[in-house]
Amino acid sequence: MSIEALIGTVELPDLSMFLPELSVLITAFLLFSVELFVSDRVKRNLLPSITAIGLIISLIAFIFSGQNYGDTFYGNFTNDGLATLVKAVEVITTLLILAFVQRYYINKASFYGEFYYILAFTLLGAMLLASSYNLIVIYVSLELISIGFYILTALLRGSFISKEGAFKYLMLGGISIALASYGAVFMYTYAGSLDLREILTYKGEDIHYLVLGLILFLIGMAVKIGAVPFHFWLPDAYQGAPTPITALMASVGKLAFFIPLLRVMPLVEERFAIAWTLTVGVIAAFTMLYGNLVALVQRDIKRLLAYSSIANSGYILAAVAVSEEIGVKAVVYFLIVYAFMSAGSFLVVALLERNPEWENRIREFSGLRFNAPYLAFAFMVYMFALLGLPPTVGFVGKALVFMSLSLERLWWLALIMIVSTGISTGYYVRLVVLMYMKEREKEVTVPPSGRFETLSLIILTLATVALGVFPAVVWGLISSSADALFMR
Amino acid sequence: MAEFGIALIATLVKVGVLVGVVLGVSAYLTWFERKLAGHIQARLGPNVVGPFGLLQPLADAIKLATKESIVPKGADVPVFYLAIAMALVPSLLLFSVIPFGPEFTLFGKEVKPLISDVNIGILIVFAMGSLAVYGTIFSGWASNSKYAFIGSLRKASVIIAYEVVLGFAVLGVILLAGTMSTVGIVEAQAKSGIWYILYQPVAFVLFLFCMLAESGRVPFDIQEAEAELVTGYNVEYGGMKFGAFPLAEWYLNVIALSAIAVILFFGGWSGPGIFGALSPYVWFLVKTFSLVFFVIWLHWTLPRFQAKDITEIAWKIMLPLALANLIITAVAVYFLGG
Amino acid sequence: MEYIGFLIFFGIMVVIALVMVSLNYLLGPKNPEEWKDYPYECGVPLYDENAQTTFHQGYYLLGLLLLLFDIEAAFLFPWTVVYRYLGVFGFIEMFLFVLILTYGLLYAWKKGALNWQFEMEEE
Repeated sequence: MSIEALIGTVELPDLSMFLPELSVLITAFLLFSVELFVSDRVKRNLLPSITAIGLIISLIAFIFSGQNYGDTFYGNFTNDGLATLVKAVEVITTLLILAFVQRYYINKASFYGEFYYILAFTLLGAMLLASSYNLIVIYVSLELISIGFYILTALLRGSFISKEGAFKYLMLGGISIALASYGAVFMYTYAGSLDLREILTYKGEDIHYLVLGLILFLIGMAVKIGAVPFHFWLPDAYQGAPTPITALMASVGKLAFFIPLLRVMPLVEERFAIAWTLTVGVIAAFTMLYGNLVALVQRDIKRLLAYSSIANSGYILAAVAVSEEIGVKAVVYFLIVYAFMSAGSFLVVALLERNPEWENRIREFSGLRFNAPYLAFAFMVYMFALLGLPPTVGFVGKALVFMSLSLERLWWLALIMIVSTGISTGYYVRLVVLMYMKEREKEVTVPPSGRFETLSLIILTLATVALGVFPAVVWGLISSSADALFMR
Repeated sequence: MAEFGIALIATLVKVGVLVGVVLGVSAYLTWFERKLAGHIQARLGPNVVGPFGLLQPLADAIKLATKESIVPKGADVPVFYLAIAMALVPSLLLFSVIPFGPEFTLFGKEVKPLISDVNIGILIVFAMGSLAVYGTIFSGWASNSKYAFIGSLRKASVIIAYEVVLGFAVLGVILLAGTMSTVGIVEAQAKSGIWYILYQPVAFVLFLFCMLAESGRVPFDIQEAEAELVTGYNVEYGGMKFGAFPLAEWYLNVIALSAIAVILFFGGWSGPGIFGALSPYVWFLVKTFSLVFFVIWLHWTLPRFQAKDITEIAWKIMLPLALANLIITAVAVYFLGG
Repeated sequence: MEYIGFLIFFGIMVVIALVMVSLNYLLGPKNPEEWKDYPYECGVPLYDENAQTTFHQGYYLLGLLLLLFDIEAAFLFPWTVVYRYLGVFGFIEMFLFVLILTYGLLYAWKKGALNWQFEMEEE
């Protein structure tokens, strides 16, 4: 065979679909160069500004990429409504979290210039993961996000639990990647293709390979999203990581890691629907119950929020079990709003941590309304949202999940969901009670937050309420992108 | 089947000839080196055993072979022996891709004077060079001696640094030839009539340095540093086991890498046909041994670099140079069409 | 056939290496003594029985760098062979690839991983 035939035709990529990623990528490299060559004093102000500008440019680029749907890079990169929506939310959340980063690290006396470009590369991985059906690209972007998170978790000078969390995350993250790629091997064996669309629509003889591959892939992803019984790394990593990074892992990370499952959902066919629903459903049930029960006995606020994050993964997974249009919509909506509420709750903790006497104990929340009235209010909103009380987004999210479960007649899962939500009242409401109905235990002076931090918290709090009161704002986008997934 | 049998026999004959010639030549290279060193240092060199000391290598071999076999206390015995194989085998395997001349016809069969004409010849060279590190590391680790361990670590860090540079230096030549086959590279040079040293002088200099470093020759022989490390990683080896290491890295590696340098930069066997049918072989050997002579000459004339300088030269000067050379070559090939 | 030749050569080489290893055992004298097999340490009793201990972590860093650059070089080998057929695409891709590679080198350089014994520069 001649070399020309082996190489085949060279296709130039359609970069207009790739613009948001491209701007994040260029920002990352720019940050890398600045970090290497600019003196330390200039760096401190330059790096956050460059990151912010790059992310804003990337947001603007969605205007161009958002009108150009299709495949490029030989079909390895897919731009559709879902990808655009998810990526935009990821960039916005990262931008909102970025406002807290600089002061947090300077306050903890652990400024690392590397932080910013690792953040940018992590975001790039999350964005790539959101827009690919190709197993290899999924693998590479999973690694890009995970490696970013391992490093970011460990980037806290002189903190033992940060290193411990990072190491646990690294170990279990490695196992999860191994499982997911093992599953990918089985899927490739089944269909002879690496594209999820082709694999799942392939009418093969031996479906066991596909089912085995899907389940292994699912378990690999379950480790990443912290579903029970693969959750062991999550509380330690969330507790050890610098709090803005915890916010990033709980929002952008969770959002990104669910996308491959979301991409599989519309392609689940009659032949293996039972296997899918059962595996996902059982994992979801255990996750909800376990997360909420263990959260009840936590003393550390970051661990509590970590277990609450596990429980929320369970709610989202419950909707993943419903491989219908309504399920996809519920998952996307819940993911987006969960990104906002979890980021918000962790960011409030990040602000409180600025006080040197703050130890992240739950007892310290008592009487917070006197010390920090605005923060206490914002935190209360997030708690209600995580619990799922009506005016907030949490209610709409849980209602959607419940609806989709009842449409599929998965009553047992719906029942478990209601029970575990009931359990979760225990710790969410306890925090609100502590803040608003108890006298303060000790004087906690909270240093005033900066302009951007205040703005970011206001946006997050408003979004948590507004998206619940007027879900139509995002609902149009979600349903059109979900419809597009089912169109083919 | 008969076809296969004939090919098998041809290969066995080629291997036998090659091994005999290479081992014999490297044994006599020790005599040559000592003679040369003697004259460089204004003394006579070996002249007692046989006429002009010509039987000296034989005497050395007998002496080495009849020493007692000693394994140091606390050594990791399997690894201790494995290290010898890991040092010897890759350096000999380098010869498998060296073409000594063009194809010729013998008893109506096409015969290539090389063992395996694979299309990834240069990659094999690269791979074998990387494998050679294990011999060093294993020997240092298994000996359970601090001198050996430090020496092996130093040598490993030198080898890996120059291994990288070697890879990038060779890329320019492959870019010009458009093939990784050693035969193909020589034929490309023979066809165009221009040796690649004219296009790639920088790459040649880099390759030469890497060659010196990989084979532990002065000025890059810090791992052997007799004064500080008592010859480093092989200090605990005795007898023929000791003989294997210098044989592998000072002689076999130098000959093989010189031959590869000739293939890459000096047109291999190409040259005016003034020696009749044997002309390509004569040219190839003349070129190779001029290079070997040059290396030995350097060994006995130059002082040694510091350990610090050796690795830093590799990473901070040579690797950027090699990258720049690669890019310039790529641009030139793109715009001038090679 | 070419690879079989390589394999045969490999087999013969291993045999030769084994012969060289065992030659002393076969031909040499065998009279072990108590102090004969002590590792070399300038003629004094061993200070430390075991030399297989930890070593400077800088060597580990260099090993990592080797992995990085050696593998990158291995990626470039096939590219060089088909370079002429790839046209402008191969040209640009190569530049991006080498650029990223150079960035890696610069990073290691700036962070002091290339300094021998890795004493960090005074800041």
